[in-house]
Amino acid sequence: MPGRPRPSEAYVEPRRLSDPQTWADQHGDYLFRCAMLRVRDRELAEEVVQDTFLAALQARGRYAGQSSERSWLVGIMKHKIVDQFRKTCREQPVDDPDALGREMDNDGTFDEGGHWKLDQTAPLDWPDNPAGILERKQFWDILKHCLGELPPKMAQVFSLREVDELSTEEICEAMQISSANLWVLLHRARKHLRQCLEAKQFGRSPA
Amino acid sequence: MQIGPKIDPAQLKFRIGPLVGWLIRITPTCRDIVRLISDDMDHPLPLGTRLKIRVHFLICKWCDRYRRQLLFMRNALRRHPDRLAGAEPPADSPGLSSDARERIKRTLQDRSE
Repeated sequence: MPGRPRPSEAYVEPRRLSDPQTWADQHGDYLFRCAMLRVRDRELAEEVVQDTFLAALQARGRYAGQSSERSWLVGIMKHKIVDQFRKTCREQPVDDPDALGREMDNDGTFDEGGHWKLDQTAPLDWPDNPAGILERKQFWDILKHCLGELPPKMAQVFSLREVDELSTEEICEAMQISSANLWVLLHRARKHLRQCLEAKQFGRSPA
Repeated sequence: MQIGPKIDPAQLKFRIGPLVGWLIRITPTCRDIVRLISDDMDHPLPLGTRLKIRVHFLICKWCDRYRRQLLFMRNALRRHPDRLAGAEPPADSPGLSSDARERIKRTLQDRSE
């Protein structure tokens, strides 16, 4: 019959979840690496991955098939990571956040007058079209390397804010720190990453 | 503090030196500005402070670059949250250990029954 769409055209099969038994093989390594970037501890990261799969198992009836299975799992893991931070912060008192990377403020970026050192630290003009850079694996390797240079807590709050897009209130609550401390941590993390990226990606040798 | 290089600095100093000097005096230093640029990405700043940052950009292209570069990093990470994990896995954590993988499979099996 002309004009009438065939069933396969009219109805798009929603994505289905695969057998939970295959999740560990399909997504285990990927989720583990994501978790390691945040919690930086093998055991904790494994726990986060396991908690994520268990939560997903319970919630699989609510999977609407609008995102891929992997992004659905990543979304669940975001909450599990925040839960993990909440737990560890209760168990062990947070180190004085102000002491974290305090030396980073006196790293010689600015002269005594508080200005950039023009031939050493002043930000370079990054290429006009850095978007192409994002397609290169090398850029992400460098960024990951730079993130690894930060003190763990600083890297954690940075990832929660800039990668997971949590609000500062959510991060303060999970990490048990004041917003003033959080802002300082984020400022130092961004400053260091920018500098590191410039040195390694845009070709200024570190001062 | 310097001004963009297009105009002869000596002439510039003569012509708008007093204005720049005044702007330098009323705007915070670069050290303070970079802190404010970061704060502005996390919580709303008072209008006056935002104006000071804008005025500072008029006389300091480096702080302006700094801000654009921070936003570039933010957009890169937020648009491609998966790329970071897909990057070179560190030598000490290539993936789930086989122990953990087996444990997770067993747990999933137990729970789904």
